[in-house]
Amino acid sequence: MAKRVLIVDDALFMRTLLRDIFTAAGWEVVAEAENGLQAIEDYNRHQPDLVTMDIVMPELGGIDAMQRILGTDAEAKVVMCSALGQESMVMEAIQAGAKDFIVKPFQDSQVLEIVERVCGD
Amino acid sequence: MNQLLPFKLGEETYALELTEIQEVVENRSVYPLPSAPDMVAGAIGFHGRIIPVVDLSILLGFPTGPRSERLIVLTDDNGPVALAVDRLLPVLNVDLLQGILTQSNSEADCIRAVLNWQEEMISLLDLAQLQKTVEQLCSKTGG
Amino acid sequence: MDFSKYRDMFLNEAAEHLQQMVETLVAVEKQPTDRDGIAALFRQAHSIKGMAATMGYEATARLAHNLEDSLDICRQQDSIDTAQIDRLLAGIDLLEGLLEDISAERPERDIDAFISGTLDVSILELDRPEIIPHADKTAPVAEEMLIELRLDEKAAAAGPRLLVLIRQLANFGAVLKTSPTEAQILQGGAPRKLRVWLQTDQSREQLQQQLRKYSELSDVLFPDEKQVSTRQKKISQIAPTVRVSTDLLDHFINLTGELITNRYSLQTAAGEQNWQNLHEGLGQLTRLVKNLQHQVLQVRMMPLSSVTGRLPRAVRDLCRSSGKEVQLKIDGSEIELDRAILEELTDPLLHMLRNAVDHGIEQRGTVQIKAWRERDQVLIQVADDGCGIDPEKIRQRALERDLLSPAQAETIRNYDLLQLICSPGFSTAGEISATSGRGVGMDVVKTAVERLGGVLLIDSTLGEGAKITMKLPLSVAIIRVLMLDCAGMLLAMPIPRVLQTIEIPPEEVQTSGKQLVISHQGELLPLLSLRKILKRPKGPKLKLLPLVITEVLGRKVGLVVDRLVGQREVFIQSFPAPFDRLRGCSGGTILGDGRLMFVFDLQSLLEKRRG
Repeated sequence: MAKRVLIVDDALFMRTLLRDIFTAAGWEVVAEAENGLQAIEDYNRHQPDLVTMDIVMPELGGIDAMQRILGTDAEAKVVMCSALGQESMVMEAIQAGAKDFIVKPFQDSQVLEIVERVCGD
Repeated sequence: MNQLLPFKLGEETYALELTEIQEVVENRSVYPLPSAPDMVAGAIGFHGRIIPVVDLSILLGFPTGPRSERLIVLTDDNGPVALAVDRLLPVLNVDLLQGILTQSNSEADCIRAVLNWQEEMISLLDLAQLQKTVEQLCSKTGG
Repeated sequence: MDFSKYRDMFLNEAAEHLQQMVETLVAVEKQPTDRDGIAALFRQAHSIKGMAATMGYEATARLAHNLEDSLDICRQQDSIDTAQIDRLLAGIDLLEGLLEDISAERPERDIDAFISGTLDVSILELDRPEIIPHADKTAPVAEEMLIELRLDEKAAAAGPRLLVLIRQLANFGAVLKTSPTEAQILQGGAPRKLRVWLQTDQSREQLQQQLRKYSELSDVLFPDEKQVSTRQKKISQIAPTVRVSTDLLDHFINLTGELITNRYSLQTAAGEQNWQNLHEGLGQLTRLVKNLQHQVLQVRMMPLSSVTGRLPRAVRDLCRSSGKEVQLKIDGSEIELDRAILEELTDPLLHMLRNAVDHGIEQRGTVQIKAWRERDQVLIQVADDGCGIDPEKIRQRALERDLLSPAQAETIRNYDLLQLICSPGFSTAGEISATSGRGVGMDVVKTAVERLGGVLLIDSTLGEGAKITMKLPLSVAIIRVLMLDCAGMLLAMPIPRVLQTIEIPPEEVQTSGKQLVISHQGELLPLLSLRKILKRPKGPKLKLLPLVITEVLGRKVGLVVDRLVGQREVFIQSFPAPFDRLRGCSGGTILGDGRLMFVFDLQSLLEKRRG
């Protein structure tokens, strides 16, 4: 069965890029959310295997959103997406429970390596 | 009727009333004090408390011989103190009013009355007197 | 990184959370829809999980996580039921066990039976037996391993990457220490090299395999480090800690300041040979030292709540197992007592409570614990409104057990009769409920109370309940002593009197006139024999003479004893009057094994000998 992923990013460009990478690798993209609140809703509805979460977003930021998701599902696997220069925020996210992170700009292979090992067996 | 616990000191028979006794303990280790008059044989642990043991034979000037394994622990208002004696005898039921032969007033011997029980003379220990004597001895060695 | 420091902080904080969780759970059971209570429980489980995960205590983190999950369900339902509370309490017990393991530096015990739900949590024992066998019996022994990870030059965001790796490694065992530390990484000082000390049952190959998934890593090395094996020893046993209010600390600082000022004025006065000022200075010093002593004793005081906090849980468990409905009321838990006394009270209070619930209360009722102060004593009373203690049954039992003679049994006052339930062997476990049965453990209670210099009083009116009162001193005379052997006696000397202990070969003993002396640190010290002072026969010749260097009448002397045994803290009991007047020895202590040890005062022994 295909692994199911929720993509959270406020930039349509980034969402599309990630969707293409995941789809090409045989994943099912269950939903795309463009802010933290929507992400929580989508997560609860779809219970995906993985979430890629942008850090800076309107309405509700990625770290807060992740924490709320972890609050209801402590097993949630969230991978943060960050730009270069956001290291301290990424570390905060990891401390808060993010499983790993992807640094933009990224290559397909990198993304897949990271998400595969997070969901790995 | 009164109940008495008789015991031997040398050849003499003494007794205490049961109401004066808290407990009779057996096989307690008596730990000698580093420094005390001879009449203090040491102390025992008794329900978490340290209770001194007074050797009655020495206190009352009897020859020292083997001591009973059992110690008589007096009630708290009479001590608390444990008494070592030579030998314990079975409890007697006596009517003191009938049996009393003489009231004793002598200060030295710690006897408040002498009882004639089936041709045997039993001295009732005077605990108030005893306490006073012990007190004096403790203070004396205190200097 | 001082790992042990963090570990101690973790242990203390986690233990506090657990204690609060128990209290909250017991409270919430009465109000199952208390949202705030449930939310608080959730947060606490969450905190423990977070802390344990950070410290790399995998099983603890996993279990806390599991409890957090259950609490989350409760949170969503906005209610909690008894079965859930049972399970949570069992989980908390298990977490307490895990904390013990961590404290004892054992591998964490197995929690799978609990998590998979195969552990029966419906029956809880008050004594909290170890529910789960120690993991170390079955689990492979975890070994300590040093792993060095090197990040690829091209890997972005070294800091976050290292954090992820540390967490990844924590999945394979306990991360004991890292270099750089997490704190350093968080501050942005992330190099491309990370060393991790890991306690794990995995092999190097297995770890290498796992880490191969990280293409950000250029190298995974296992450097040999001799220190690794010895490092373990440096992690000291967790030291008991107390919390001191900042007010009190400020007092100490002020006092220290005053003492320093005082020292200077004394120095000046001495330099000027100004006797007036010197005299005043000494007077001030006396006041300051007295004040300091008072404040230090204050640090030892703790509120009664530190032991009564556990009781609601105990009552709850007792109610569950007996099917009774018992309300526990606690008054005066803010009363403060010396911590040494409080520690000794934990078990007696539990015994008394258990007796009240098991034997006092018939179906439903109230147990009230009340504490109050009377002058320099603290009274703690456990009262129930149950059936009371039947003096007739006690009389019978006392007769059966030969605690009373038939004649005594007739004349004894009811009040005295009641006190008999504290006699050892008054009642045994097998027949607890059959007859009066209130005596279970009461002798233990009595002994504990009396060892502290307190008194235990029992009062009861048939049909109206029982009241058991402990009268305790506010603080006990706890002193640190040097224990020594002399002529078969175990004796103690207060540590402040001891300047030094040494052992010397007999050849070093010299004579000076009639006096035996030794040369010690450039001084000639007269030797005194404790055996001689105590009028005991001479002892056997020793290869080394154990000596206590002490001061008598302002003069240093060497006291020869048979053997130096060691140091310890003891409660000192004075002998009952008039024996407290004996010179040279006025008290002693009962050691844990029942032996008596007496404290002696050398100076008064010598004075007495001369006088």
